[in-house]
Amino acid sequence: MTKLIVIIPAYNEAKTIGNVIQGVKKYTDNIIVIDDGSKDNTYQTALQSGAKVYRHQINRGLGGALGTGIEAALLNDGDIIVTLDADGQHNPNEIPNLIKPIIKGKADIVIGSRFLKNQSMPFFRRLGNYFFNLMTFIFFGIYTTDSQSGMRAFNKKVAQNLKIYTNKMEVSSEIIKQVRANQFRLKETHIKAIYTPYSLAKGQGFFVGLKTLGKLLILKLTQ
Amino acid sequence: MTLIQFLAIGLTILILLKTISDFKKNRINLLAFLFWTGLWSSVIIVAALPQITMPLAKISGLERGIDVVVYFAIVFIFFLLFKIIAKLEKIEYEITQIVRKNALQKQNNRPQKKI
Ligand SMILES: Nc1nc2c(ncn2[C@@H]2O[C@H](COP(=O)(O)OP(=O)(O)OP(=O)(O)O)[C@@H](O)[C@H]2O)c(=O)[nH]1
Ligand SMILES: [Mg+2]
Repeated sequence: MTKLIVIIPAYNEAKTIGNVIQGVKKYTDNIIVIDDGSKDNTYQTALQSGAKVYRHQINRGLGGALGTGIEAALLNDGDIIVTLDADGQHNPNEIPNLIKPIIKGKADIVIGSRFLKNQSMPFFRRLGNYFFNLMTFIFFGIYTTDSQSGMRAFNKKVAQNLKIYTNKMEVSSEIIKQVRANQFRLKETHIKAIYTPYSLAKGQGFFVGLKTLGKLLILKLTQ
Repeated sequence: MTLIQFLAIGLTILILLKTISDFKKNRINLLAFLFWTGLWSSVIIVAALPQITMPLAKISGLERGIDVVVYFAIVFIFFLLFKIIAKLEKIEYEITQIVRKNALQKQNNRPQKKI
């Protein structure tokens, strides 16, 4: 049996994490939440919802949380690993479609892309995402339609070989960088972009974008 | 000698003394010591005798040789800045590793559910 593990990085997501976990349970009970030093009840809520929770003592950022999640998934003998956001932006019902290419052995890593089909997205988010697709291509040589997507699936081989050095939002591009370095087979599948007022209020803005760009430049220059 | 030259030389000598004392206390290695001593000594020489930068002016086409020195100084500062940022990134990464190890171990000590 292939074991599916879903990793959910979470920072102050007590309001939404319970629902996300319930949604994932339809597909697997193997749910790992990385509580990234939240100041709210994320830890308790996730635990009560039935996830296995690992807690960062201090906040490290998305990259730090994903790195911990991947290591935890390997410790728990995962064969297929899915990552999705805790803020409710990803629909767990898309998990089967996401992992299909991996189960069939057609891909090592699948990125859930919000841009394969036309769908509505706030204009500046769309622009920002295109920009980062372009920068990721210029820096690391792979073009994807959604380099910043937080919903992805990969197999054990990828989990074992991914070396994540970055701590924050730049991790999404870093993973794509490593796809190329390790010659993983990459596929994209369509996912819906869910923009709730909650996720928009919490989500990332222009200045985080600038910082992320700076970090990618450092990553490019130092490695 | 102008006041600014005087100040520059005085300050640089202090920095040079600090470099020497750092080396004596084993805070920096031989390579760093030689590099910094060389750099600060040349700063003192240029500050004391700015006219020795004249050939630089000829080669570069700039009017004053001292301008060339200042340009290089700016480039050098950027290089240092880059080094510092890279070092910070490394430290951030190391902190994450500690936090991660801790999170993974704690989980093992107080078993929740088996997945
Ligand atoms: N902002 C933030 N999110 C974190 C952190 N650590 C883990 N996360 C999780 O990372 C996921 C994505 O975070 P978001 O801030 O929504 O970023 P995003 O979805 O890429 O950006 P938006 O499209 O603006 O929502 C969420 O599940 C967060 O809970 C952190 O330190 N900061
Ligand atoms: Mg979000």
